[in-house]
Amino acid sequence: MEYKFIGKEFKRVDALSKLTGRARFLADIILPHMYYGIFLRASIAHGEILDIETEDAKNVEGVKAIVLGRDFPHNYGHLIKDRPIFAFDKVRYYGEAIGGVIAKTEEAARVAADKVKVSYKPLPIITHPKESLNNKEVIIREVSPTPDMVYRPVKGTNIFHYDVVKRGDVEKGFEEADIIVESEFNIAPINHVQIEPHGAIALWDEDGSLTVWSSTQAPFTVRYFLSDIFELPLNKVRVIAYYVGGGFGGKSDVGIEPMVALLAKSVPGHPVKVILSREEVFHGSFLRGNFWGRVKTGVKKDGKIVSEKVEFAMGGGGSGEFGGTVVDGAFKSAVGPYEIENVHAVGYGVYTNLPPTGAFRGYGHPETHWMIERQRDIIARKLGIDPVVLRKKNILKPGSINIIGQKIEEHNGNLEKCLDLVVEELDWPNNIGHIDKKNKKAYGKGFALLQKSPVMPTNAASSAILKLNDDGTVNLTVGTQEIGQGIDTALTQIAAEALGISPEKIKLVPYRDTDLYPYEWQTVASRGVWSVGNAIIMAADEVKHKMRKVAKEIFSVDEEDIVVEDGLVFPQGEKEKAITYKDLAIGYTLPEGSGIGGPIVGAGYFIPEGLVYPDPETGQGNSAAEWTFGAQGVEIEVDLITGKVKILKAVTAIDAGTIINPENARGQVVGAMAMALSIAQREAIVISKEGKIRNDSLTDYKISTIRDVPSEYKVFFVETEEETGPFGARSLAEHGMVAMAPALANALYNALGVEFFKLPITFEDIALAIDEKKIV
Amino acid sequence: MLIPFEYIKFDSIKDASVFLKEHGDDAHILAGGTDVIVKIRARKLKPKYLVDIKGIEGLKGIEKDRDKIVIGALTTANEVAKNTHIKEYFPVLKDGAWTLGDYEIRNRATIGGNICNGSPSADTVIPLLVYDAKVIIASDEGERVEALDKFFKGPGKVNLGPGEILKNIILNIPDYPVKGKFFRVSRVEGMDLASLNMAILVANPDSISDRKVRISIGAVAPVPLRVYELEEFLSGKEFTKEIFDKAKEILLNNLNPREGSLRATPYYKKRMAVHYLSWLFEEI
Ligand SMILES: Cc1cc2nc3c(=O)[nH]c(=O)nc-3n(C[C@H](O)[C@H](O)[C@H](O)COP(=O)(O)OP(=O)(O)OC[C@H]3O[C@@H](n4cnc5c(N)ncnc54)[C@H](O)[C@@H]3O)c2cc1C
Repeated sequence: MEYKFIGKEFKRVDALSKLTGRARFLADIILPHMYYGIFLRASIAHGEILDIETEDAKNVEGVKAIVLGRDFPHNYGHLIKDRPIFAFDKVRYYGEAIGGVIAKTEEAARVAADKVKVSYKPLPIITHPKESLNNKEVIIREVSPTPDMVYRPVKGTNIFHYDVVKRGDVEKGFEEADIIVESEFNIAPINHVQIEPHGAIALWDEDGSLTVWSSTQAPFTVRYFLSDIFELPLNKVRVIAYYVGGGFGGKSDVGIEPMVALLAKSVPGHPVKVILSREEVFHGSFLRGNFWGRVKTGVKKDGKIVSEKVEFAMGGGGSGEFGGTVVDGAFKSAVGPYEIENVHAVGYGVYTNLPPTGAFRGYGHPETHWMIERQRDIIARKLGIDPVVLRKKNILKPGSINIIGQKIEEHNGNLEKCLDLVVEELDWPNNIGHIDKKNKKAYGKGFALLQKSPVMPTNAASSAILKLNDDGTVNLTVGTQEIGQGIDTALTQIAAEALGISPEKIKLVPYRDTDLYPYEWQTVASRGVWSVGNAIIMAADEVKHKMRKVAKEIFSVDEEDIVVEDGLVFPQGEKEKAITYKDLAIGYTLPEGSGIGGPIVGAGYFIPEGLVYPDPETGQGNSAAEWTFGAQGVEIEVDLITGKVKILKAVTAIDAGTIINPENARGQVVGAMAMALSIAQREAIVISKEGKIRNDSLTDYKISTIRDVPSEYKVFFVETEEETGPFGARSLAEHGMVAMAPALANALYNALGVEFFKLPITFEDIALAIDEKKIV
Repeated sequence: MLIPFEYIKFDSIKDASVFLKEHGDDAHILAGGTDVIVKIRARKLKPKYLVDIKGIEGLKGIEKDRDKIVIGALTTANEVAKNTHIKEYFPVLKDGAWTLGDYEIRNRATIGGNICNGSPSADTVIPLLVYDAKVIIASDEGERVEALDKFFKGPGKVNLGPGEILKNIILNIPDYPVKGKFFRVSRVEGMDLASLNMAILVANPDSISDRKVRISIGAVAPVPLRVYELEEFLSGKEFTKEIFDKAKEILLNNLNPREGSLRATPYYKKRMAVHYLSWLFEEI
């Protein structure tokens, strides 16, 4: 379809304010009578809290109050009630907050916090998910299932949730198979490393209402939890969010806000501000949990996969509330984008003595794809067939049934085309790998496929409000957050297209405020354009409908005969009589002076219809709203001396439906590729024997710098229009993360002949492999 | 956030020295602050007084004094790397200084701070060692000269007495042909501390009998390491395969990298050190 503003380049609406430093972030907010808070943090990874000595701290000048977990012993949660605001009975990970100090200055709070003495009875620790899964001696948290709990904890174990997929009969499938391939995989825990650390300000008014300013991806979810914890009606909790300096999922789960709100409760009338240090972001926010899994695949000689058994466990940290849904996301993609007759997949979320696991760009998918897309190449090698051929024999196509029992439709996208584009760009299967002994280099190419659907509740809703101004401009308010991904720009373009006026005339009102802006579930799951975009189209329809109603009076024709087009309103066939939106915006004035109509406001909503909970025993059911498919590849050069890998080219082909803003869309994919390769090549939280994070700063937690990222990026958009999406768009933002790691490892095999089964694959691992294989 | 301290600036060595002596461990010298401030923020250092020496005359700049180059302790890494004398006579030092941090850090980081911080992998120290640098240490009582190699006592520990300030670094301009190289590997190609750094200098490279080799390595011992045993073995030798095998053995015997380093495993450090050593045998 031809659009006026969709699919066109359009400058980011927040570009100028961010470039000039005028854009407001939480750290910029300084309020009158404000105090500062510092959290008290556990110095051991697991143990009962025996005694907390605060006398010396209280005497520090400027200290206003000290709040401890035991003052408010409460576990909150929506799916499982296992998150303390501050630890009160025991601590479950190093750095867990056990309370906080409020003082007139941050420095005084810090000095006082250092004077608090805590004694513990230490307990044994578990940090690896496989170990936790099999352990019944060290129980990190006791939870029993209750009727109002959505998760499925297993009593007497560390399992707080699990999911199952069952289709066909895997054992029978293995019998029919010609070969069986079994592999085991691991992934280290990682941190999001957003530029902006987490922070919040909380203020309790004398009337008992609570206002929280937060750097969050989910102001309405923050509001929900605060109202639940503090037993307040929703309209007495106000959450205000400015721009967010990077989220990547790590600011969608609620963590810091209840803590700061609890501190502030002891000093009503005074806002209390806490911004985490970088070290605290590592041990005091959320991680992508460590991951263990194994895959057993039965395949026919011709490459047809007949049976696959997948088992995995994700380390959830000390509480599972925000980690269990990652398992929910992962299990739907437990075998990747393939149609397999017999599947048995079990995914567990298990407690570990690490910071809690939360959302992380990709939401379980990079983890399962790491296993599956490695496994596909390994299988192809065992059978001696090209991995492209192997995949094509098994991938999801229109008419295929995926592992949760959904039938794939034409409009879900064209995975095969994505695969073709990537292998063509890689010039596959020519020169897929070789060693250049003379120059001490090795070269390799690799690719992998991906799928992802938005992981969200079945009723995750969005809304939007369009308000016409008397000069014909429009204000748009939404509840979704601009976290750097460019949503404000894409939604402005959607509103422009839907209203038929230029994007310059629309102001998407920056920042968010739960008192003033319409509801939004969360800014996660790559669903913003899709979900909020639909709500905006509905709001625009209401605006147009209201204008037609007034116009029919003006022109004395039937409502159906009024045309609303390109900012003009006129009776069918009589464009010369047209009036503009401006004339109607706040009511129309008739020639004799009297007014009709009134100020025009359009409201719209969206909820994904027809989603159901998966069957608990088989995982079957329509639980995924839309799928995005894609393929990714890399060309690499390995330095045989240092073991370092240079990414010569990174490629993604993705079917994200209609692309709203090509430049921003490309930015999302490129950024995701760079991030995924950084994670695959070097990112890992290093845990000491005592359970302490050893690299809790950017000195030793290394992410790729501009000199480490790929030399070249190629992005292809396949635009199969999505039936359920605004102007045919579907999800895009996380997907560039999903298959990069296996693509890299597959390329490494082709370069060096070495199979890697764990992430990250560091240059030291590669150097060791080079030495072991005596490649130089 | 920094825990409060008092900031004091002096304009003479004498005054600073007297103050430092008077306050002992409560006072700490501040140059560029790129180590000190990081440590204060991490609460590894809790000074009552931070004594800024940047106002002291004569501690800054690079001067040629006949056959010597004198580098003021407050000279920044960028100034060192861009200086024409350094480029001409001490290219290995230029390369080391240029790898330190990033451009912004190098604008603040001083060579004196790099030395006095006592890191076993300091990027200006490793090259200074192969040039046999000397340091001039001053206090209100006068000055003393020490070989840089004798200045390091352990990780973060240097040979400075109460009230002593590093004033200058002295380098003798070689009056014989030299060939040298600075090597470094780090976890990322952008700003990062060295996982291993190493400097090799060969005097009279073209005459086997007059050859002298100097080698220093960082991040393999509690202090920046000069490998004298290896230097003696290699000096005056023809660089053959047999000599390399023996040299490798001597090198590895001298390295004692710490287990559990977050920058690189002992295995990797040793592997890279051997590889860098091979430069001598391939390029000379
Ligand atoms: C982001 C970052 C990256 C870095 N990267 C590198 C790197 O790649 N390589 C590297 O080697 N270092 C690196 N560093 C460490 C640091 O920048 C250097 O060691 C620097 O040279 C220190 O100099 P300064 O002037 O900042 O010292 P300061 O921090 O001011 O002082 C360092 C120490 O020396 C003492 N001191 C300073 N001057 C004198 C003097 N004249 N007499 C006596 N004592 C003195 C101080 O009391 C203090 O103990 C990095 C630091 C940062 C923050």
